[in-house]
Amino acid sequence: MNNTTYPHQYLYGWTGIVTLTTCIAGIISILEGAGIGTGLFIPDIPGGCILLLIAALFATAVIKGRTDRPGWISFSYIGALLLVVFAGCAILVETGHFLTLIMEGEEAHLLTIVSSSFIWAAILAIPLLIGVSRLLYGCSCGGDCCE
Amino acid sequence: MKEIHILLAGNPNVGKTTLFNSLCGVHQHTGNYPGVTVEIKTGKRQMNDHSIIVSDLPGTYSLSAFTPDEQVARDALLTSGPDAVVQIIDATNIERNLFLTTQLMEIGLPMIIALNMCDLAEEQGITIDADCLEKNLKIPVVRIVARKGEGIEELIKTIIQVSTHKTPAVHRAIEYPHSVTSHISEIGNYLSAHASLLGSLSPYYAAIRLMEGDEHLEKMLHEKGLTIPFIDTSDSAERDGIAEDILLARYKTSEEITTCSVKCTMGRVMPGDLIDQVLTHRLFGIPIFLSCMWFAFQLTFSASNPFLVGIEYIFGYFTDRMNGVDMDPFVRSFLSDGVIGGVGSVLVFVPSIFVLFLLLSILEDTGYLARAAFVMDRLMHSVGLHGRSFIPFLIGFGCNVPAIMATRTLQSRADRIITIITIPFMSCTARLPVYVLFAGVFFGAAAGNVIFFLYVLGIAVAILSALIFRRLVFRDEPSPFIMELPPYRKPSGFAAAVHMWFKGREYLKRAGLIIFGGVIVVWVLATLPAGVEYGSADSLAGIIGQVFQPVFAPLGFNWQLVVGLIFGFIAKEVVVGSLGTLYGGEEMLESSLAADPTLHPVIALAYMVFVLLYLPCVAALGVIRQEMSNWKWTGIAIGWGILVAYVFAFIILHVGSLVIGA
Repeated sequence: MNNTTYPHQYLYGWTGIVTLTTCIAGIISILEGAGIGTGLFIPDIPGGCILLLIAALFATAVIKGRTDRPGWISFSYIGALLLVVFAGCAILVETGHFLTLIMEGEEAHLLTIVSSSFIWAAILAIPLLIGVSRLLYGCSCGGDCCE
Repeated sequence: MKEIHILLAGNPNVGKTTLFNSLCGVHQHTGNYPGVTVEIKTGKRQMNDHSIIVSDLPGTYSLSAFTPDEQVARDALLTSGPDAVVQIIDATNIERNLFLTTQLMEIGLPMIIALNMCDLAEEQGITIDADCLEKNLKIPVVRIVARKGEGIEELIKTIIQVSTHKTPAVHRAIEYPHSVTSHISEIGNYLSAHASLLGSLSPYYAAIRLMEGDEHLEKMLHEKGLTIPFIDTSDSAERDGIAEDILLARYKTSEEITTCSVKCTMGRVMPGDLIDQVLTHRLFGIPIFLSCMWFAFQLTFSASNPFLVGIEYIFGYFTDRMNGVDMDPFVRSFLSDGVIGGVGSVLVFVPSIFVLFLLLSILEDTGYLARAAFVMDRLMHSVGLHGRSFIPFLIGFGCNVPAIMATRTLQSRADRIITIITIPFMSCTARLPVYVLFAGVFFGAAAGNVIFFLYVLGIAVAILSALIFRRLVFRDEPSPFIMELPPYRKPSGFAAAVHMWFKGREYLKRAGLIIFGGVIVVWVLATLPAGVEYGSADSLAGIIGQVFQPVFAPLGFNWQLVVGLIFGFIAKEVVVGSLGTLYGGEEMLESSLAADPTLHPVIALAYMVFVLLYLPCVAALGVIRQEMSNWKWTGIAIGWGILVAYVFAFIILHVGSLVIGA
């Protein structure tokens, strides 16, 4: 990151933080799915694996950035984009479940709509997505970017 | 009223079908990947005193046709004698598109260039001097944005103007080296003396095609008794050299025209290039694709479920109201068991179909599905499938019929046969109701995961089958995969909604015709002979089911499930329709299945796997026969499907039973 200047270094640092939180969210989801957990999040083994995949994308961005290899912006952008889009999908999925339970006259809790670990991981990724997408389009227009 | 016949030609994925839709006010399927159009589509547009008949040709990079769809385009251009050819050029990539222009110009037909996607070009900092382009090519150039309908009126006026022009079209001539021109004039003069044999081809153009090594034309002339004395077939090196000279002259012309008329003011690194570093990454590409598909199926099941419950409620309401009306028991049974029970049990899945099509449209619109084909190429190639086969596979998620037709984009016959045999393993939307029903009843909250598993299993079985056929039957290597990646685009909500509606409407039409017919037949069989209990083992349906049931006994299927499979051959939706009829109506279907002591989750999974793999529907079989041009491979496709379905369902039942101890 020698040639990375403000605000890139903050985005780079934020990518590191999101890597950690996404990884933790993925592990918790898998543990919940395996029956070892706190009950805070929805048990979701495939979802947990997807979160770990996204964490791997962020980790690749961090590694590429450290060695000044090109591409950290691309990895950070796609990781954040996938996380935010999947969180949106997770809200729709849980809303679907919630409405189905209501319509079938069964007990349903509104909080389940936001209890997917994707949503909590994505909250941190939103500022990253905004910052990195500006950087990405700046790069493509020949602007000042670290690639 | 004067009739004008025009052809829409161009490279793949430049927006020909989008322009066709704009011109003719129709809604042919378009896609943000190459190879959507594989046959000629014709439409009409009236303007003032003119009736314009528009033919949309499959995309082609050159007139040296290699694949069946390219041959269709070439034959139409060379033999149909249109009043004008409209070449659609992608404004973001003019130089590559101009190579085809250099070939089209030489045919000698009146031409118009429609410069499409001008808005995207501007966004990318590409400035095009249309006047310079027009002057250099000696062809009218019209700027359009087909997606937004911009420039269409001007294009129509230009078409009318060019088509009604009485003087022959004279375009820019390609400057060939002297060695080439001397050959061309010699052959051209010779062919002029036999012009009647050339049909609508000009002798000069035919001479160039022959020098380029057009085997098709050479064969055609040979069959008419004309042998070209100047072509020395023994000296292939000399012929290759001339063909190469022609090729280079074309590229040089394209480059010259581009240099003078196109200016790029921005850096050439596009956001799409940076995004592709990740989405087509050799390690991350496939997992990202699988993640997207997993979420698509989660949404398909969960987001549509409240609508499904709502529709069930409406059907239940009508059934209750009908039961309260005094009517003949036979008519009541027809309406409640046949119409509402059969067709209703299929219609409740309409929301799932709509959601799936909406999601696939969005993925397609963004340009991501073409990347999916690209990342799958390594895997596909390693098992003997052509990378481009993945595009028909993706189309097969919607319906197997157009997917089988899309194999025309494959060059090698072996690649085509293998792809056609394996496409029916792709889960078309007609199978989705079966999955949603059984997964919902037997797997509850894990239903989305089960549906995702079935889709992935379909792809896995297709790949496995390809591997077997490549190793045992077609031992040659699949041809290399070259595909142009389309640009990323923001998905248009309106376009996705329109696509979803048209696809969903097809499903509704099928429900009204084929599925309705199928379930009525099942209802009649479940009612006859007179006096038996409706849908019982003594009815004709019961007897048929029991005759075949021993064949399926090792798979754990009861006779009702067997009847569903038999009639599912007409269309896969009929499986659910038949079960709805036999299990006492759509309102009762889910609870009846759940309460049936002969069924449990593993049998349900084996049944879904069997439905996924066993047979293409009648329509798909018809297209397989048409594309294969013989019954041998059609028979192999049927036999292979049944064998694979039986083996996989058997394995799943017995391994699954061992695991859960059933």
